[in-house]
Amino acid sequence: MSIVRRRTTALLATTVAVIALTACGSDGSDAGSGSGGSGTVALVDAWARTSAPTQEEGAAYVDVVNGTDETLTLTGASVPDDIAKEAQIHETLTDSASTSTTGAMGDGSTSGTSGGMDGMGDMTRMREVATVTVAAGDTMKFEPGGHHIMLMELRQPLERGQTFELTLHRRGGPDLTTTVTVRDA
Amino acid sequence: MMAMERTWRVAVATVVAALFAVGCGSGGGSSAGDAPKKVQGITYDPAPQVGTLSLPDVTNGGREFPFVADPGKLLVVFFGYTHCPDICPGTMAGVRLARDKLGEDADRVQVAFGTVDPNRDTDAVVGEYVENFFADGHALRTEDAARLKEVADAFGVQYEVVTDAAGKTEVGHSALSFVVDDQGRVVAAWPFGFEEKAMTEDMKLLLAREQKGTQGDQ
Repeated sequence: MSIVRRRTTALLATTVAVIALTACGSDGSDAGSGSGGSGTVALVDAWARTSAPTQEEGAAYVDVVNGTDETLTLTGASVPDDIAKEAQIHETLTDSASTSTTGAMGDGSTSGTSGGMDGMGDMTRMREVATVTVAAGDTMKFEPGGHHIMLMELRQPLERGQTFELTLHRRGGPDLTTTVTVRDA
Repeated sequence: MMAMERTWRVAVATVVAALFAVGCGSGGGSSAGDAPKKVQGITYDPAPQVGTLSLPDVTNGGREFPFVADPGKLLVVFFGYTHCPDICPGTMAGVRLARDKLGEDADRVQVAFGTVDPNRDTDAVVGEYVENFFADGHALRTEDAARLKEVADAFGVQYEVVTDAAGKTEVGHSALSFVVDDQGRVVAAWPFGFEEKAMTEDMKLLLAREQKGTQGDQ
């Protein structure tokens, strides 16, 4: 339900943002400005989930609307030091045990792989990604179960209603900045 | 290949379950309110029995917590780890939202979170994590790898904790929430991203079945 609602909200927000951007043309508001393109890049509906007191990692999500006529390449993320030690772009992937990536971590030790009831088991894991590209005119969603901005070593639990600044770094252009609002889901 | 085969089997199981539900239809007596008559989550035929297994409940002094709901209740079980920023808190928040929608029946849905990463998730860490989402939640943790695996196998859960030479840990796990009835049977499973509205409807339907005392049906 909330996913649908969130999508609707995001869509609405995106539409509003796109209209706003179209209306104000090339001067780009707070969402960073496109370099060499006709439009701009907008960061829309940025949010992070509340975290439990003992939770060391958090996640933030945002829609990246590439209104330019060039491919946008994101190379990383950052948040203020009083929010988390580090921010990384991660991807949640689901695979099956038969294609599990034991060994991808080098000389890793593995504990406890199990398989059982048919169809239940596909494993979900996270991976840091070096870059994310958004084609010209496309919207890329950082969303639960997909790409997310992982907040490493949270300084404090993320509280409902709290806001903080999120910066996305891009190749060949200025950083993109937006305000993240913390909510439950 | 294997994944496809599995998916196929689930699909078959689900379709069979659906046909069965339709077949029993009005005779099944799930006519309460306007709720759907069919479980929308994944269902299995026969429903796996997990009630004979248990894990220590660190939110209850380490007492054994059997995977069976209290009489007339449901138990939602998820296996994850607290360093998981996306799927695990998303699942917990989703189940909480869905359960809250039950109103006064919310306390008829119990919740348990079992950690697959007991090395980093100490009793205190996982206990506080779970209680943050559910004041009445159960945090399950064992350092006995064989016990954890036995439980995971019963649910069909896969997990993997890999630590590299630099000490960096990566965890993989099945991102499903399981619904267990008061007979210790897995009566539904919700994949990650399952709509909260549908979760609430499944909870209502499954609670209504329990109320009607269908223990030992089929």
